[in-house]
Amino acid sequence: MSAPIEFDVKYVPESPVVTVQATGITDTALSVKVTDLDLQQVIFHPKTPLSDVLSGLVNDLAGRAPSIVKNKVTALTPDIPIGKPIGCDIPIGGATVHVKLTSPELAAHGDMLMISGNADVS
Amino acid sequence: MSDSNFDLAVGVGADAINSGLQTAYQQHRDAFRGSVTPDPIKGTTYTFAWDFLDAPSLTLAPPDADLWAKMIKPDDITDLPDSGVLQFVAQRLQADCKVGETPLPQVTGKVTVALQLKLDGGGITVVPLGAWLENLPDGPSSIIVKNVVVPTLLTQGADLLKGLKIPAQDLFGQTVTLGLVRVDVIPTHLVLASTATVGQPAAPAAAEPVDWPTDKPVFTLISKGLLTTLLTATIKQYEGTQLAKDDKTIQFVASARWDATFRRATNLTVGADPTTASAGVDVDWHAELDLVPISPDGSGGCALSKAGHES
Repeated sequence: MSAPIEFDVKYVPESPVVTVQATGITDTALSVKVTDLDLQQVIFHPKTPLSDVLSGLVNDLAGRAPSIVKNKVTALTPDIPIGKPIGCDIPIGGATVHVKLTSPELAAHGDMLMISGNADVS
Repeated sequence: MSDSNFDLAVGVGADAINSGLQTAYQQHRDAFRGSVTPDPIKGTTYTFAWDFLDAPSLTLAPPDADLWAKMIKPDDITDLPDSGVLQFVAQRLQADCKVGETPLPQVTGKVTVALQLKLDGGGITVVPLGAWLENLPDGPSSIIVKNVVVPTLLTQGADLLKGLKIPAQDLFGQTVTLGLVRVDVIPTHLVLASTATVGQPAAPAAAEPVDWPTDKPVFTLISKGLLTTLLTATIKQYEGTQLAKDDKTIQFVASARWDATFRRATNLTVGADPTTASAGVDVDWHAELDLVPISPDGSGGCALSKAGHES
């Protein structure tokens, strides 16, 4: 059996940046879409020389790796659970009225994230 | 609005608040009636029994000058504060009073109590400012009105709101602990703003909205600092997730494959548009190359290489 051949893996840029966009919100989750990943190149460097045939095999794989990763990542649309509904409590007498935000919508207000909606009183 | 930084603000419109009062009135009717008999005053016992015959409401504005002038006020209140003032309004308060054992004629009429919401050590203090009654059970300077009825109504109004708060929130799976830093009473909304901590203190907002979004019945504003903290924590659950893989084989010669795994995100930054964010991605790569023996039966293939990348 031949000795293992090791690879150094590099990619360009050195720290790819992923960008995401919040696309919507429900009572239970924030929907996010990955909009871009700037991975441009992946390089597999063998630590010991490979034959031309094997180099070609590895280079073919490395060549198509960025688009495969990018396509996979930009297809991601994870839902982030919100947890409990947003709202406030109004104590009245010995009771507490809960005002919850329902039918939420997502937007920006100034440089802050705004979640707005209707009130559900219970 | 005064300037102060916050991480999370919740604004509730007057309609929603009054809908809440209506609900509370229907579900907890007994909270809207009662009676008091304070210690005797100059040897006489006074009793005041009240019953709100309709659900009261809040008016998110101070009383006008005319009404303010008519209100019976605590001794230490003279001027109407310039912020945080709202009115508790009951269209029909039924009052039954007794002086000693002698009942006074029952009266029913509109009542307005002016209150001020003030921040106090992370909570809200409700300051009773004055009360106006359309129909008094006795003269405005009588002992029962000045010492029993009005103080009771002021206390009732203050009790209505003294526990007002934004409860600890679960946001994006993270529990956020809130410290109230601001309360705004504006004609359309009651707004509470807080700083927030998630495990460790989050940076307060660097900037404030110019105006509250008063066209929304209920709104929540989340600062970039809190959003960054929440999203960073959320992304951690995806650490170790395989992003992609691929392989290629040259028949009878070799087979190579790789897979890429998300290790962690770094420097998450919320964009100028706060519905966007970006982050550096740290990926673990693994690659394998199997050489296939000359014999085509597939036996004897050996793993020749394994590679990883750490950034």
